[in-house]
Amino acid sequence: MSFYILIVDDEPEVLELYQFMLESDNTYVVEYAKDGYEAVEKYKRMPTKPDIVIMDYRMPIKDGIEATKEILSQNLNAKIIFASADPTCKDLAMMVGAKDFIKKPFSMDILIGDIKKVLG
Amino acid sequence: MLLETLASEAAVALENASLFEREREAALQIEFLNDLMSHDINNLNQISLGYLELLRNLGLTEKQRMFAEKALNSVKSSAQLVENVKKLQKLKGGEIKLEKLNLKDILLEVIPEISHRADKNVDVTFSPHDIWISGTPLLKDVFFNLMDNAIKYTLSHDVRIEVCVQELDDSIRVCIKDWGSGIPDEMKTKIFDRFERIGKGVKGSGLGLYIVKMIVTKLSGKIWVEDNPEGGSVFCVEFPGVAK
Repeated sequence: MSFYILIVDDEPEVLELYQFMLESDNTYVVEYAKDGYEAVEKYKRMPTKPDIVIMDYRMPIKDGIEATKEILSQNLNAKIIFASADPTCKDLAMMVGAKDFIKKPFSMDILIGDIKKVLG
Repeated sequence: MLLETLASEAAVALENASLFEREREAALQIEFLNDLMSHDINNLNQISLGYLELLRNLGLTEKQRMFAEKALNSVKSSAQLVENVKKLQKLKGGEIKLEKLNLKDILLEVIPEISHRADKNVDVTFSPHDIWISGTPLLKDVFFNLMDNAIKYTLSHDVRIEVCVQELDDSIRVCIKDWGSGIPDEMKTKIFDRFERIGKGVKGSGLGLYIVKMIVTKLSGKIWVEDNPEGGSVFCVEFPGVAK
């Protein structure tokens, strides 16, 4: 069984890294968006919704908080994990409905462990 | 004469206001740059850390694996340094907001985090019970740094740490005892100064205990180190208690 993950980050190197990290496990199929706006639009068009969204905070056009609110307004059951180098957004992220927060830099074990925890 | 005095005082006041404004602008600028720098450096650290971990899992030779581990540790130290600089800025920036906290919860958060290490076998002894103090979540950094130091300065693979919490008449004392290499007498007060390190063989920015002391001082507490009679050190911090 594989899980479908949407990764949202404005840094192409980070997107590529997450893809390698998650696909090395053979359990995850990865899709990505390079800012909050693209994430919301992509989520809207996805016929099968992702099991987890990994969301950055500071991004151009639309930040992670706004994107989280909009994705949750489309689907209240969406599971969003915040992954940011800015820990000051943690409380706000959790308040708007993120399931968890991981602070960059984190190791692969932390990311995969957190995804498994949120997936239950 | 009176007019001249008033004019002169007004000029001094204007000069002071301008200096104050420039100082405020400089502080805001530093805060902005520090925030930007730490965010961007940690994003870069994320990329290095992630790829080094992927590399390490590729079935390397022992020597290649050792090189990858060294690079990984260096990235982790860089992330720690960024964190420390941010904390220093926060501590120097003003007063800490105090809140009623249970010391037991803070210690129970730190102990599993510090014990879970791939490189050493860490055994922490602690008998948890509720103790309320007037503190800040930054206390987690105090205990994390003190226990991390105990691990760094215990050269053997097996590390033993004992955490002892005492309720005194009007204060709370927490002592962290280790059986490591100990602190020479001439270093016992200096180690809390900026950039001082106990031994040259141990990596670090020399900011850890300095930050610990700043947090403790902001909480009107005190910190000191004693010898463990069985070998090693005992770091003690004491804070004012709060009514139960």
